[in-house]
Amino acid sequence: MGQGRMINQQTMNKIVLNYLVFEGYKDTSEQFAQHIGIDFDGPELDTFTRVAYQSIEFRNEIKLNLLNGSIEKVIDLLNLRKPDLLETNNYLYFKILLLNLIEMIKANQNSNGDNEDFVMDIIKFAKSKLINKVIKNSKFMEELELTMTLLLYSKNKDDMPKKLHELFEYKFKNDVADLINKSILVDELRLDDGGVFEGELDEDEEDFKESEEDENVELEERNDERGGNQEEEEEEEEKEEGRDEEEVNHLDKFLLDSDLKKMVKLWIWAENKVNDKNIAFKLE
Amino acid sequence: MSNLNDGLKRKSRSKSITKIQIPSYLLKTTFGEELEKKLNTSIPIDKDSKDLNNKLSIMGIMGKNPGKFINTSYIEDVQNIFNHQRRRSSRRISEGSLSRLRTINSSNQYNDNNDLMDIDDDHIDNDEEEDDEDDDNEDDFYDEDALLDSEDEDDNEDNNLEDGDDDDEDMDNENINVLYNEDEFDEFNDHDHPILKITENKYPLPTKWESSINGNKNLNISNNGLKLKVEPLQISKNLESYVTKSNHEISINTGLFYYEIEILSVTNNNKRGNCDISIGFIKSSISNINKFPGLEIGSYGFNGIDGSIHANNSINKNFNRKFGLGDIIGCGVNFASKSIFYTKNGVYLGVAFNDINKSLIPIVGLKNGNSIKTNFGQNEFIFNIDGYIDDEKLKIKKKILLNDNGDNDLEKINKIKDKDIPIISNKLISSYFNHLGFIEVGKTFQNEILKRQSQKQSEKQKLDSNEDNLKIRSNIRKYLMKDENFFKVIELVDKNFPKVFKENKEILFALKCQIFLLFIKKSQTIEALKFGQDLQREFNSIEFTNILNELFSLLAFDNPMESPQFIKIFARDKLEHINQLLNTAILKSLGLTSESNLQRLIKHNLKLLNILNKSNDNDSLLLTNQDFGI
Repeated sequence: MGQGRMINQQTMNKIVLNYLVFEGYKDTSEQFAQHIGIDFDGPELDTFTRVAYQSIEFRNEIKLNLLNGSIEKVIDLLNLRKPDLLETNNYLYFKILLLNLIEMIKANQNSNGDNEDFVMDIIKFAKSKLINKVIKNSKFMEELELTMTLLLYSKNKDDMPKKLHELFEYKFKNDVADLINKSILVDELRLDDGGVFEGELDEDEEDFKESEEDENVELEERNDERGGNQEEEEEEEEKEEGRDEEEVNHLDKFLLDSDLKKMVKLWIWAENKVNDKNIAFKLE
Repeated sequence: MSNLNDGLKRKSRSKSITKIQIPSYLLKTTFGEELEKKLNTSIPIDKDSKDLNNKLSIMGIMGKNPGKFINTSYIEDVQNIFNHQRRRSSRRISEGSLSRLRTINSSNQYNDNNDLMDIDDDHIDNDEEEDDEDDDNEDDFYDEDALLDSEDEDDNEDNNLEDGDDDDEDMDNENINVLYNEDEFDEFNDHDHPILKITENKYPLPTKWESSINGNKNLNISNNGLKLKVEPLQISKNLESYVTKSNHEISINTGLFYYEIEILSVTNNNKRGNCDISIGFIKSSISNINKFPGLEIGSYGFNGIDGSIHANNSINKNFNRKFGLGDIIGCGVNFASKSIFYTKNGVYLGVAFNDINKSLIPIVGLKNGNSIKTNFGQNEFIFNIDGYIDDEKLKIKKKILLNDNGDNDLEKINKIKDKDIPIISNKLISSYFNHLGFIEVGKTFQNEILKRQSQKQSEKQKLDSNEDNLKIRSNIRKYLMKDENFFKVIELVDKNFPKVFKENKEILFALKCQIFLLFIKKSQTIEALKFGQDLQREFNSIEFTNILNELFSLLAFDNPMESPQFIKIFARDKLEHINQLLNTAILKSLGLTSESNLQRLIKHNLKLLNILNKSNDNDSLLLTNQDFGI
């Protein structure tokens, strides 16, 4: 990456529009596009933004509902528009149900309803919806257990340990909202005929994987090789792979995010790295 | 050696331009991205052709509606210009005229004059000749004579580095009136070179083997420097070792380099499946190479005889993969992971050496009766190197994108955590709208954010609408874009930001041109003429005259509003462009930064990465601007 490059207005407009569409800010992105004279059907738009725009209203609706705590509405909406998504993506479905549970607990805190009934409701919900997801996956189980302990603190929030607090507050909700948003986008990109997603995948390992499948020998040999030479690395990798497969968020693989957020992450990473280096230089 | 020289001479007579395309995997590295920018610059048009352009422009042929000038003397004039120019420098003019012809051809949609087409054909012929020559050239991949040719071009090639960003729009605009762009004609020519025309001494990576290291005649090298052959043993019984290295070294900032050799023949007394060939790298600081790759300090090699890999004169380990006749062996260095790896017939064999942190140079060792063919990236590799680099890039991107500062990272200078990023992003976007003076968009955005903050969220982000100038800028925008009341715009700017037009005369000019167009739009011809005359008086320098001439030509139309030119000139994005120029100028005149926070963030990022790159930070080597949407 060099410095000499001029950053022009178009580039920045593109980054901003990409962010707005990605995050589902429907009104803003439409107004902004109009201001800068970009047509969503026009040729100036990159494929990602174009495809993402097609689902912007849907994603926005889901996000608003979710952040407002109407989790059941979110599930309904998803089942209506993307029936396969929850069926195939256990991880996503689990997180939404968990959020649903948390919202139920929260709702009870604010009301003075009958406590016994409430606990029974919670247990019923957990039994009917969550248990079959959890049995197969120990990590899911842990999370469910943690969530259930929320019940202990249902009347005195202030004593809540930090980990629980995070679960209870905005962050978890935001994470789930983000997860749904990205899952829909991945799905939309896959459905788009333009072969966009291949491009996306290209960036992300898939291409190489194909070649590995074509040449099974290669895979074998790689593994052989690693086993011999880079034991430490291998161990680390094994640890990673050793985790429950379902638990690993499949979205990690795609590293899907808006250009702007990628840029912020790059900034954080690079700044810290430069700083680290300077320290190292001084020590020398 | 005498054969070799003959070969070179013969070649030098043939063609003068070498073409090379940067292998696609290299484009995925910082180095490759920069290199492409550096190399993908055309020969800028010289002063002669610029004059020509001006002439043509004044006559209307380069402009948007040559039809109005059509008469016999006009055609003759044009022919004279072309003929004169062609004699002067035949090669250049034919290159340049290709783009000019495009303009002419597309202009022809609006008139049926066949005389003009004649000129076109004439020139198209000329271009085709040129193309044929170029095709021939592709065989002579690395032509010695190119060295000579490059001397002429060196001076020019660096001038146009900054273009290229706008390729897409420029292509669209090709026949659109780019009213306010003085470099209009230069830009046309920039798109005529899809294939890089560069010479080998400008290409800073290995492209061929050096003729000979120890001057041994038995090692023959083909003209293109890619085939090596050692004559079979005749008198002596001991096989001798022959070693050579490539023409250029690979510096660490290259990030990744990969090449492949194919074994064409092996010594008779070797069994099938193996051979006395070893390939690898040697530290480029070592000039005196005597032994087979891996058999001396600072060199790394993979030997076909038993599949062993050697470094620094000791066996590192054994791949147990011999190679021999017909095999294709690949050898790559990855400075991001500081390792050297090998492939055999497209199959990844694994990392052979680690801790590679010095620049290297490819090296190969052969014994009697061996011959090989090399691919330094001129052809497609048999190994999926693009997949390999994607994989490596993914590892680094994961490091960056999935990294979250922990709670205890006190020594970190940038302590932003993942959960802060949405807020930061929204702030950046808000301030960007502010910067552009998009007050309504900013408000809409604010509302949408508030809608999502269901509960009493602490971080309510308020728009800094107390900025006085924001309101004025927003008004200016409204008058400019919505009401098309340009008089009011000029008045507002003059009143509130008096410095702006004094320092940016071209913006005032652009605005006044729009006023002129507005008169035409309303069919107020007399007012238009009057205003036009004032314009001519006010803006009499050469840079404005050409544009004015074009504008006035609109008067020649019976119904100018229906001419495609008019629509293009009056297009909304033109106004948007003016608005942006004006906005930037106002901010500047106020002593405010003319850069938005977003722009600063991008620049800052580029700077940081540049620092990392210069310090040969391994991770940043494989990142490109594209990876982050810049």
